[in-house]
Amino acid sequence: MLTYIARRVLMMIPTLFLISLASFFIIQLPPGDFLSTYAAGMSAQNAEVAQETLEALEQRYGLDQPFYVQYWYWISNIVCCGDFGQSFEWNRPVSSLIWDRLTLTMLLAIVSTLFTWFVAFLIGTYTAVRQYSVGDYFWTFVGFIGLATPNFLLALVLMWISFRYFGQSVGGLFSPEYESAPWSIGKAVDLFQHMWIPVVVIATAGAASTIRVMRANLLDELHRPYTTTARAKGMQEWRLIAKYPVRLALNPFISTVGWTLPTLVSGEIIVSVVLNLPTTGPLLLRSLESQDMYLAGSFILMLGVLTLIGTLLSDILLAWLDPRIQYEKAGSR
Amino acid sequence: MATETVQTPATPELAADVLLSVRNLQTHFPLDQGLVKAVDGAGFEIRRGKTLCVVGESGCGKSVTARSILQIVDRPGRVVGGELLFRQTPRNDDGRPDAAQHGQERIVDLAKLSPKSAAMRAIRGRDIAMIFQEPMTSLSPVHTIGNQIVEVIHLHENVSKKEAKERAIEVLRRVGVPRPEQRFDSHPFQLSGGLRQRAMIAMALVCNPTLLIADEPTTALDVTTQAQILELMRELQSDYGMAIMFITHDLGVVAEMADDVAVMYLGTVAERGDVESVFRDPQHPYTRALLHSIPKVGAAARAREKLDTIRGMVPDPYNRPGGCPFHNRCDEMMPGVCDRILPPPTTLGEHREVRCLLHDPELISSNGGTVGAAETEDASRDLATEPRPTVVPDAAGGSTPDGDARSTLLDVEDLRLHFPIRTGFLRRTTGHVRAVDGLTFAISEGETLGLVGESGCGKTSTGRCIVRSHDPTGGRILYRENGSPAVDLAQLAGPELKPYRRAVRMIFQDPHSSLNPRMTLRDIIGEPLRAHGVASGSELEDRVGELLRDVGLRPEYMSRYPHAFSGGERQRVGIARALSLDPRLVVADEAVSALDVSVRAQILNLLQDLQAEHQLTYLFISHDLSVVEYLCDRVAVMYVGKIVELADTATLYARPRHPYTEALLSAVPKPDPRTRDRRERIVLSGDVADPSDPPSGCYFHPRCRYAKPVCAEEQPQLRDVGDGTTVACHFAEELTLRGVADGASTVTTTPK
Repeated sequence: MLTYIARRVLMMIPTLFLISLASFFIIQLPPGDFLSTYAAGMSAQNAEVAQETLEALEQRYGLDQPFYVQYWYWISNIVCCGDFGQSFEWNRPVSSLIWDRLTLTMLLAIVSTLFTWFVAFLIGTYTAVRQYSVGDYFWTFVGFIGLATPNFLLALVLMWISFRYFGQSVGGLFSPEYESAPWSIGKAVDLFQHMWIPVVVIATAGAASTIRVMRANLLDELHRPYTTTARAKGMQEWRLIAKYPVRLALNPFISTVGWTLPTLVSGEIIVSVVLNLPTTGPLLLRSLESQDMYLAGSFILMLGVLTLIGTLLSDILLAWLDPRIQYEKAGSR
Repeated sequence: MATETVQTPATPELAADVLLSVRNLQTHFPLDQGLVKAVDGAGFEIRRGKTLCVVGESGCGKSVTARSILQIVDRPGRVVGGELLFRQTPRNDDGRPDAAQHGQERIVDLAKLSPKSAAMRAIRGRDIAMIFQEPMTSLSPVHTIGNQIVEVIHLHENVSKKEAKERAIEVLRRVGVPRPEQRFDSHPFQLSGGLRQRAMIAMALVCNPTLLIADEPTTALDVTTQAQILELMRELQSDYGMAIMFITHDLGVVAEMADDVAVMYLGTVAERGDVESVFRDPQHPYTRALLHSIPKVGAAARAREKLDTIRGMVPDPYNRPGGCPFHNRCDEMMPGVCDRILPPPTTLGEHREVRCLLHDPELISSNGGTVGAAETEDASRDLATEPRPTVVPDAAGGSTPDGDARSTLLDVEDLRLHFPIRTGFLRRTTGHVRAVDGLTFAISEGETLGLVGESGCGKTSTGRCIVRSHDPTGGRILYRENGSPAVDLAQLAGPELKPYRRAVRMIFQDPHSSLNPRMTLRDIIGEPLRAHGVASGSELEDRVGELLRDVGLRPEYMSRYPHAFSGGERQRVGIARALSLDPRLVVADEAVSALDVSVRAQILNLLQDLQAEHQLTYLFISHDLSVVEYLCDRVAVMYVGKIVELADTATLYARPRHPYTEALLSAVPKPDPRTRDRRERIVLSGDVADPSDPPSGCYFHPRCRYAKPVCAEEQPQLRDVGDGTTVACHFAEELTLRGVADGASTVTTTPK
């Protein structure tokens, strides 16, 4: 198992290199660069930027260098000093911009995933066990409503409810008084008071599809012979369903748990914009618009790393939870 | 149905020796397409400590009957009528059998209990336990064996964790699992098929049930493993004193195991009685037909008569015939009688009952007693004579192999297929799985060569090398056609192989997974024609129609999808596909193993007819020795990638030269209950050797009962020992091994 993990980690290195190269290349693809966007923005506001200033900036950021030189500056700084470069637009180091948001994003991601699973597994199990019952149809209906409702709409509705009936400040993850305050119990409570809206919004869409997948998985497992075996032992119905078929129906979710990491970083941008959440999504969008290449590049690199780590994590988790996987691995040595 | 009430007493009374009495059981499945009466008035009795075998084709309601007893029928099925009277052993507060209250059993009607009630759950797994066909899928793949056994103890008895574990290990040891302390923590996939079934049995026995229901427990196993498991079940039965309800479609297994037999057809019991009399003197035409359709080991099989088959097939559940359910397949059908009247059970003696109008006392008396009498006489005469003389003209040149006279079609020389084992960080090759390891044999034009051995012996790998879906790692496969120069198929690749892909075709084992469910028969059978540019358009359609006719299907079926067909029909489609390109050699990999006895007989007949018609050569891979004997001219026995014996069928079966062959032959259950106590069985212990790490010397020596020290040191080479036999055993000449020829006389039913 350890050699397996070690090999997987080693194989991540060339993959990461390719991802960074590709992402840097793609960012450079659109015509122009940050400075031309910047100059265009300034001239739109009737503020002329002196040609000399632009050239000075160009030299300072190395934008006049060929592609591979720029890439080399960027990647070597990341690898040797953990320096992700400077955001043009914010005029701050990229790392100082990213980490805060990344932490909050991860928190939001984990809470909403757990919430999604909790709701979806319960409902999914119910609808599979009671297939074609009134309850099944009801939840199927609710699920499809959840799938069909645009997330931003739900976000707006919930914001309105929260404002109208609970008198909460809406938008963001913090009330204004805690925005830049150091961490305290009050701030944490405030965070959770704000977080339920995005969690519910994100979970509704996720849960709807998860319910369907869980239902389909479980329907496959419910008629497996081992369920009959358990029944023939004299087990109670709900206990045997929880112990055997549900347990096996969860495997596909575990194998995709890794994918939730990157989607939650880049996904839900619209919800984040509507709710004004200090997560990574809106920042990534903005940096791509303004061709803020070090910021955008760092984000995409981060997404790549998260995808790889996520996949590795889910593979390890799956191998741990489903002993057949380890065996097959051993068998195909 | 009116006669039913006479049969069923009003009070739940059981004869003293009866453990479970099933009376007029009805289990129905209300489905969208209609009501399926899976069990429709079945009745039988299971005696204490005895074995009842329930036999019949698939789709006859055997499994549903067993599940009805435990009330674990899959939804929407439900027991809707009848009685299931069960004598329940009293238990003390801890849930163990209470010796103090011996003899004060309660009689419970299981049909009256709700499937989810605590009373029903308490009986499941404790008083009545069940084991299933496929131990791999019947055990949870992600829980350890121990976990699943201990669970049963905790469900029914009040014991500590430690004690439960000890008991689980104890029962694992009892069922012959080596090193039970370690196996306790194993997962099912880490065990071999035989060990898995042992673990399953351990799980069933751990609470000392009085009735064990075994639903095809050996069908998925090798003959040798089957013999081990049957032996084990007999032993355990005498130890635990439990009754066994054994469901099987294999009449050989019935003859080995049964005290009583119940033959089921379409949800009713067509005939029941003690095993002796049912086999000797079958009264129902269905029983007789079943007994006729088995190829008999050692019998006149070599005469190559066409096997008797039962006309048609089990009707689909929505169109069950009225009157006697069997009337539309019955050779002795009385028009106007059998298709109108539902035959009532007629008692013929102690424990003996038949549901056939030929035996109905009222009908007999109205016909002046002629019908029944004439018929019974007929029945015994029918069996007394050797199988009907419907001999096929044998184009292959009779049973005496004149292989030398024929030209050789395929010459396999030193064929090897090694899979590398890669380990460690850098995936260096550290060894090889020797799936096929130096195989040499030849197949003559028009002959059928059988390839037998336990699973894991490399039979399938050999077949796949020959059709070149695997790339052999060594050796030659020389193919000659019509005296043209030999071509080494092993050396060809890609497009060079294309012409030979037409000449060498394959039939697969599982007709369900080997046909693409999204393609019509026209596409499935026509695909090879199109791929080779042989035919297209209406020409292709004509050709497909012709092929369908050849395999006994109607050309109109062409635009249907595989799911519309039964297992036997699908296998015919698979055969049609293999024949579409007019091949010379057909590799049939366990082509009949997944089929019912009666359907198997039909397919075997078809294979024979096609061979004569199209001058085919077969390589017939099978683990079923009775089928191989019936179909093959010569037989090669494989063990761990090597041939250990190769001989003419008659010679091999009469006088095996290799101890492995002897053991294989001995493991085949003989469909004659009278031989079972006289026969000395050779039960092979352990499993097939690991092909990545085979034992030294002769690979078979650790399991061989004749092994001498030299066997562990020196590997025997294949050598000719006369009689057209080649064998790889140091002591081939010295040993006198038992074949099945001497048993042949007792196998065929002798007249009364």
